[in-house]
Amino acid sequence: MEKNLGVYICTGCGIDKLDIEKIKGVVENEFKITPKVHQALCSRDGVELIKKDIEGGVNAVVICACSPRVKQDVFNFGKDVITVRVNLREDVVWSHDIDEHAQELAEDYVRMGIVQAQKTELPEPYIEETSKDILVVGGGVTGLTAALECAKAGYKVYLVEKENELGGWVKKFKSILPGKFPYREPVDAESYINEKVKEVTNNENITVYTSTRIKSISGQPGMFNVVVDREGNEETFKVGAIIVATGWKPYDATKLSHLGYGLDGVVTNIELERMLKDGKLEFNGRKVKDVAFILCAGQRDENHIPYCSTVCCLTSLRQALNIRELNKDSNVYVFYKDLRTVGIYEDFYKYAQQDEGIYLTKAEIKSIKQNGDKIRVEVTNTLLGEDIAVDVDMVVLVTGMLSSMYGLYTVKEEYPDEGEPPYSHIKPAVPKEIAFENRDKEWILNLQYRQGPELPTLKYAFPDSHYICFPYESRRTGIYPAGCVRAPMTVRDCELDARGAALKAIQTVELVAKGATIFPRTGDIDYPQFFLQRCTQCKRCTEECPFGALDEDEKGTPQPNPLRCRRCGICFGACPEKIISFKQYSVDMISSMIKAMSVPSDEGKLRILVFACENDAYPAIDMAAKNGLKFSPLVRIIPVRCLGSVNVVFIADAMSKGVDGVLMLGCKFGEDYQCHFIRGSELANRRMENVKETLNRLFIEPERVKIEQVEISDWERIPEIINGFVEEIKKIGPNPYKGF
Amino acid sequence: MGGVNVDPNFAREIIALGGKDLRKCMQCANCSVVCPLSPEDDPFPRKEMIWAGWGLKERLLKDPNVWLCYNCADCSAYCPRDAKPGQVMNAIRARVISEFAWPKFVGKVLNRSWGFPIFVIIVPAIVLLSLIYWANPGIFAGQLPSGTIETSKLISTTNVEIAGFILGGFALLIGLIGMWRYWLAITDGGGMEFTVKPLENAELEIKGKPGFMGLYFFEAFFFVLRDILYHNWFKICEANKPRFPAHLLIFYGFIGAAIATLGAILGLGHILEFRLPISLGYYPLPWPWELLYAKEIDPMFLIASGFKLIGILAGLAIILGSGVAIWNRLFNKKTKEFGSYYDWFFLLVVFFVGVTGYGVIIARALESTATYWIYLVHLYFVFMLLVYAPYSKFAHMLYRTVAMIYAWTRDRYPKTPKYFWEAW
Repeated sequence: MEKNLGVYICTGCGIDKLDIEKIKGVVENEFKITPKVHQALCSRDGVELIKKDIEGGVNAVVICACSPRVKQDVFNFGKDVITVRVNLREDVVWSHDIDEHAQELAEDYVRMGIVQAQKTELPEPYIEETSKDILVVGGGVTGLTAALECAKAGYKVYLVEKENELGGWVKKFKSILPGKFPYREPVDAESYINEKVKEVTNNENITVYTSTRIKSISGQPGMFNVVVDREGNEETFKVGAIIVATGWKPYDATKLSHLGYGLDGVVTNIELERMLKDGKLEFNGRKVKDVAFILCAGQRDENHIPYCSTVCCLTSLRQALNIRELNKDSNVYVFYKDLRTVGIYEDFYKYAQQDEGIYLTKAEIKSIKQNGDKIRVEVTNTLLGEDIAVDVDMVVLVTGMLSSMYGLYTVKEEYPDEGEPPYSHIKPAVPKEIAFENRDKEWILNLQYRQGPELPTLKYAFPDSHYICFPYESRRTGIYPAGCVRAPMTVRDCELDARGAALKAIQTVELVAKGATIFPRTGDIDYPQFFLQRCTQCKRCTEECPFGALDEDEKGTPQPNPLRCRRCGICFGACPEKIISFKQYSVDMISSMIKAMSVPSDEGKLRILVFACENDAYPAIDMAAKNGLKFSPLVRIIPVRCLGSVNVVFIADAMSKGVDGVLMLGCKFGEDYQCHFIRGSELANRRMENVKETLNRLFIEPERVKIEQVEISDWERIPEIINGFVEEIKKIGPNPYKGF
Repeated sequence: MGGVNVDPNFAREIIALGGKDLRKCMQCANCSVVCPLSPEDDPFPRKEMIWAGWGLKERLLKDPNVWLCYNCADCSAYCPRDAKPGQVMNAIRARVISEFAWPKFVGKVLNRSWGFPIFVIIVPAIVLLSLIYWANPGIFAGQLPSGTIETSKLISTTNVEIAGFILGGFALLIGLIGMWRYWLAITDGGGMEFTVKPLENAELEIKGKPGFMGLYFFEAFFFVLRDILYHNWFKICEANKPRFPAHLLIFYGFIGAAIATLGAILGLGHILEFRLPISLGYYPLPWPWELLYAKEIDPMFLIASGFKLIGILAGLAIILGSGVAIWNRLFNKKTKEFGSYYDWFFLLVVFFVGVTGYGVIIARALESTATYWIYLVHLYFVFMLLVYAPYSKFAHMLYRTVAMIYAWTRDRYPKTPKYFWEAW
């Protein structure tokens, strides 16, 4: 595309404090473009000025005004115009005292912006024939709700269930928690779930596959090829997105012999539920009158389940009420660690508490022993301040919920063939041997992805992607876990979760049909292009892609799946051959921007480059500026999509250009990571080793390059971080390559 | 044994006796903090709440704390969960009375609403009817005595006296048995000595003061009596202020009624066939206003009409006191307590004893034959008051006194205010 650049300088919001004539001079002299100056570019008049030029043939505009994060709608000139924003307001005038240094800073930003525009191309979307159908895996309450929600929104749904009937666990329950005010009496489970099942089977948008397993899933969002095995018959269909609602499984109670499992009369709450469903409270023909519930049996316990399953307290209260309903003379003792009845279910707790036959106390179990016909439960550390002993007919061990993905072989990163998992946020739920043993025996999705057959998990085998920061996301684009597979939750929460996942799935099928990506760069149509002729099959990109977007052929050449891609640029950050680039974001572009900076040999004018992640760090800098915080004018900030997209080449270019230091501001990584692309900041940190090696080879102090973790709430610390680094560089002294 | 025994039936009984919100308790101990009567060490009613909730029968039956509570209801007013600790304490007290009053089942049935047909209708009816039949069978034929209205014409004084001695003696005996058994329970069998468990693992063992039998006992009794007469503890109550005048009126009303009864006996000059050394010679006691018409004043007449005046005032006090108590239960929203069957049974019996007693006085002054009918109803309520006394709420006067004496000897007695005038 023949580019016709227009440069516009705004003098509003205090930018006129700079020497605008000098900036104009830089543009005119160095780029042979006559910039236009306006006192408020964002005004109707200012926009008209630009639009008129566009009509006159300008197809790339460089707007030297405010932060690219603001007024995006005002400076939107359509998809045929390249728009580059130079941040003179936040990054220069608001965050610096105007002097010679600030003036030079502004000039550099304008140079970099013009170069960026020169190196940017117009993106073209990846358009393929996609399917908007949605696959729901699992026919429990979450799966049924998700299927219904998608179907009601007009999407065709395939619902796959491995059992021979729909309904999942709830079908096996006697009752469930109430779903509406006043949140008291338990609700009959059968009628609740039957209604849902009926609604699903009557909906013509939903195709139900019972007694069916998924054989394999290949492809990418919008074009997943699903092969199912329906009692030996194979069927194939194409879907656009997948909701995984495979639910949970109970913890193996045989590991709880220390709590008396195995004794006559000690059961799990699942076994109790079966008795309640049958309406007969008997154990080996003996009538059960008094019952003790042991909550957190093998839960919140490092040797068993380390987490809280959140619903067991409520379920126990519900079962206690059911027992009391069956036998008005019965006494139910509930021994808990902490009674956790989340949210509005406090009302349910209060209701159960009022029952005259239900006894609640916090307690630690001392012993559970056979005592004649009965079982003697002895507890200590109770609310009464003393030990209690009760003789009961039945002890119920309330074991926790495991994700249905527990024990499965998920992805290579979690269970590498050799060594430990390479990322600090990965905590394999089961030992490697168990995962390997299950590898080809048990699966849910069997994705034909290079990185592994299932959804990657975060902790304790829950396939999540940091729910607080990125709700409903998984690390496989277009595949959304919902319900108890993702986290233990009540039936009512499963319904909510299913709705959230349904919306996500719908969003995906709609966006990928237009070739656009989903969260967090929602709507971005630009996608990475691979210049494969120069690929050396090093496999870094295929391994490091957080979303498993790249498959491989036999030789190890990457096979891109653009619709799986979330456009983070981690692949091009990884590529040593620099063969991966976006139209709007490429190695060449950033390198050229670095080269466009002026690097004076004057010792007082050090030059420091900051790569700031556009998700948290760059907004934090904007916020600091907006709040009037000032920092050193020696730094030049380049926003990047993710620190993972910072190629080592950038640093080498900067150093050889004579830049004195490089600071990288990225998201928090590790166990409680906040990186929007999961591991970008951690990868950047790891690549630092290579960087340091390179620097040593160039006889440059490795301290000149540094990574800092910044959260958006850290904006107050921005001057401290930046100035601190500038001081460190000042101590080291100027880059010896300056002036070469 | 691996821990305390839980008695689920006991918990259910407390719930049935009025502690229906008991399980709402979350053990925050707000109640113990706001209670104006609770001593600083070993305070109540927080621990009583969980003991009751878990049916720790042995603990509660010998817990004198429940009697140090005057049902001020400050605890119920301030309870964040509306568990109404005041009512629970009340229910525990009811359960304690029914435990120690022999035979047990009477108390258990009497204090529950399903005892109503037996104890309010069948038993008194049978007893009263047989008393009337024995004294004056004619009344069944509708023949009311004629001439001046005198209750002794309906049922002779002797018959009333005999019945009174038998039934009252029975009640007193049962009450004393209960009182003694309760003393043994709270003192662990007599309680000449006791040891205090030292706090914070101190090695010091404190020997208690001698309990029963010692001089100390009489000192305790003196102070307890003083506090009862002055109603000192009631005055500390916050939420339930009307309880103080109500109880004061009923209390002195009953004392006044007792004095008037004594006066009536003196007026008669003999009990059954035994002649008394003093006789006023006026029976029934003369109206006080008859003094106004008297030409010369006989000192005996003056005394006799003085007794009559006390009786009139006592009746008024009982009606007024129980009336205030009823109003308080119905309309005092601060206390959040309506009360249970156990409370209402006793309160209404007291109220109607007063009302019917006064009815007799008025009807007789009007010289109406309705006097006889009202008198019968009055006897009916007096019967319930008297005979059920050791099982009903009336028995609290015995148990509370015992518990207060015990608490005083154990230094567990809230000592403020020490004197009557300090409380004003």
